[in-house]
Amino acid sequence: MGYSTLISKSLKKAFIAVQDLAQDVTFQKRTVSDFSFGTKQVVDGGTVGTVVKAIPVATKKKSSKRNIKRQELMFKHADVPDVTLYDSVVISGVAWKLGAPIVSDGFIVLLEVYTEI
Amino acid sequence: MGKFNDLLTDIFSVFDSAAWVAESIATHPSNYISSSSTEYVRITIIPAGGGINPQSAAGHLIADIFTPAGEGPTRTFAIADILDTYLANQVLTTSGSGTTQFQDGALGSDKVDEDNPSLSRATYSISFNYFGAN
Repeated sequence: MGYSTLISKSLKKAFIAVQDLAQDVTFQKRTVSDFSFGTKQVVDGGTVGTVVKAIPVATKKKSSKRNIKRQELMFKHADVPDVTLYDSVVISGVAWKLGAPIVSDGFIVLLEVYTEI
Repeated sequence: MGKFNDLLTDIFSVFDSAAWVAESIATHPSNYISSSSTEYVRITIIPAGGGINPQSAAGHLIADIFTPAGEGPTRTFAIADILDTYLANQVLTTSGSGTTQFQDGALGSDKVDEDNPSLSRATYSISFNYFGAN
């Protein structure tokens, strides 16, 4: 067994071992079919979601000019290889906007997400 | 509506027309993420100049022409000619509130697109004046 497979299998076991610390979150992306020059609007093709197990790592609040809550989310890279394809992530029924990945090493992704409160 | 929206209505009517659609050139406005990967035109309208009265405006229409990289300028120039047919020296009154008048078009040099190196991008630009009722 190669190291890549070994690490991937160990990660899978780790996400099972943490039990309810890992929760189901849904990465959502809007599918746009076209733009109508007649209505001057995007022709919306609806929203599709990908459900993955993720571990909320840390939450921070910032209230200088706006009240913003930031959260770090850890999940397997194989579940969501490219977060830029998605628009938001739904955690416990609340939609969060996606920030840039803090860590993305090909196995694990640590992503900052944020929402206005 | 206001002058900017009326201007948008006038210009978008060109790309909504049956004749333009029949040209089979994928066309998108700015601030729209295109799924086209081989050939398309991206329209940006910049009404940054002042008009003859507060209800008027002047500016540029920028059409970025994307074609497959490494295949020469022929298709780019052909699309620029098609754009010229629909825009150069045309007068548009679709909005019903004013008149958009285009001048002559110009085509800049083409270069490999920074975001997608499989595409070549050239910029077609044309000046316009929007005359609104004072």
